[in-house]
Amino acid sequence: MGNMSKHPREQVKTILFLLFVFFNIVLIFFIWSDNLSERISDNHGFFRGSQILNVEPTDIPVNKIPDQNLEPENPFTPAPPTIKLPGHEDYDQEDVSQYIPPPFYQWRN
Amino acid sequence: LVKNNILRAGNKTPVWLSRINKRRLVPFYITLLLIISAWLIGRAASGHDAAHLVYELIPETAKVEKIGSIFVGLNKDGQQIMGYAAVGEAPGYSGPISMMVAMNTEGDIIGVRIINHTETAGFFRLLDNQGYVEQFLNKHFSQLFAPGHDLDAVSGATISAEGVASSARQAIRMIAREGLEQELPPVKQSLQIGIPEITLILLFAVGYAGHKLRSSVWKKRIRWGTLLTGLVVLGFIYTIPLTISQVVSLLSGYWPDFYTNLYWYLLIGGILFAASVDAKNPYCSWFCPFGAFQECLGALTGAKRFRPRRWNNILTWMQRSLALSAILFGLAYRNPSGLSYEPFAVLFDLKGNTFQWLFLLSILLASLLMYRPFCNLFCPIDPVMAFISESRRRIREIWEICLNTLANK
Repeated sequence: MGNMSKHPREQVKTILFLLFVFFNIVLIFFIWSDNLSERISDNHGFFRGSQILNVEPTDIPVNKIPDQNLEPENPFTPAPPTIKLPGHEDYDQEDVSQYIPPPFYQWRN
Repeated sequence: LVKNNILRAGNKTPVWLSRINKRRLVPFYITLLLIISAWLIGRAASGHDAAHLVYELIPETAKVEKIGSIFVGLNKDGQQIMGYAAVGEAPGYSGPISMMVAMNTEGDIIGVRIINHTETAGFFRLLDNQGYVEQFLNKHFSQLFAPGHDLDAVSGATISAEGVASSARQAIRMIAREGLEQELPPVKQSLQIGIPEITLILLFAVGYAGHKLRSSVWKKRIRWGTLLTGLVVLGFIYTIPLTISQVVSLLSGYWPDFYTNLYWYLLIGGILFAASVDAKNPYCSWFCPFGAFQECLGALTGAKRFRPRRWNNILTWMQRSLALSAILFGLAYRNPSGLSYEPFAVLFDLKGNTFQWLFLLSILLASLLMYRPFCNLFCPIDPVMAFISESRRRIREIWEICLNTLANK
């Protein structure tokens, strides 16, 4: 690093410049802090392990079967025949197949 | 040529091992190591066990078993199916959104829960406030599940809303196929090209060609043309500048859908292509919308570049540290926007908290006194481009050494 300019005007400019940089660094830290605290306080998926929203831990043990032990086909009773399938009043096959999500730039987030 | 570039006269020591280069190599490789470590940490910590949610989403479930990619909720004796659940995942604004959907055996949705997301909290809260997720309840699996159709759209968080809907559709399709044994028709996809994509391609082409122009007068005129186009189209109309979140998303593997987000691929791909092939960065100097806005302000007062030489190294490393922090944090927590701090959304979308507004105000005032203060001091993209440029140099040197070794043999 070289020597600081001896010219008083240059020195004042440099000091103001450094104050500007320092001020903005402090602001960036505040922006980070605000962003992180908002995510943590909302429990909105910031730290892994606490990402499940609005969920109280359950006492019921989870019965997980490893994939390799699974039988290839669903061994349980199939769904009852009362399912409202394509004949359902809200079902519109053409709409489902034609739906294309809007592009990125149309979404103002 | 190879000898001149690679070997020092006399002792045949490769230049890349010389003392001067070692000083540059150490921080380069430390940075690379940190990025790889953060990526691995993020990778190891990713994933979630959502099975216990099935008990809450499917009433009277006493036992949960996983069949293929779906969960099956069973009654106490395990003989009757109470419902099905599955987890879908789709890209949101700054990373994937995972959602569990539960359905009864008749195909009606009886429970939904967002398991994981990395969206900006303020935007995502809009979904909560408007009860967006609750809209899925009691709908039949054969419905469209599209914002603006059978779901109320959420103004101000539309990407997040589409991400949630898309992850729900994925889960619904899994249950329909594997649980209810029904097949929904495939969703047709078509490449979407609009004004932003065409503008971006033109800006890249003009910016790239403009670098090579010899006439400084024409170069200046064309550059002002691209800057103003970038400012208006990419800035004020569509608000789609390059951000550090997009870089982290790229590194994390959170790539959006190609068909509906061609712009993202053009922007990232165009910059990487230009930087790696020709060591040029047309984006920052030719059409970055925020850079253009600062430059316009600077042009009003004739602002000039100001950077005290004594502080040059410290300022460079400060900027690099800010960028590296944002990248490492984003990768380790798989949260691309976790430490982003660019004031782009504040200027172009008028959205931000008090600190972001203060930061923007400070930058804009400084733009009247010095040339592009944000770009020169704080922008995280500049160090990223410098790192790409350094990587390119390293790869070229290693390649030339290999060629030289082969030539000597």
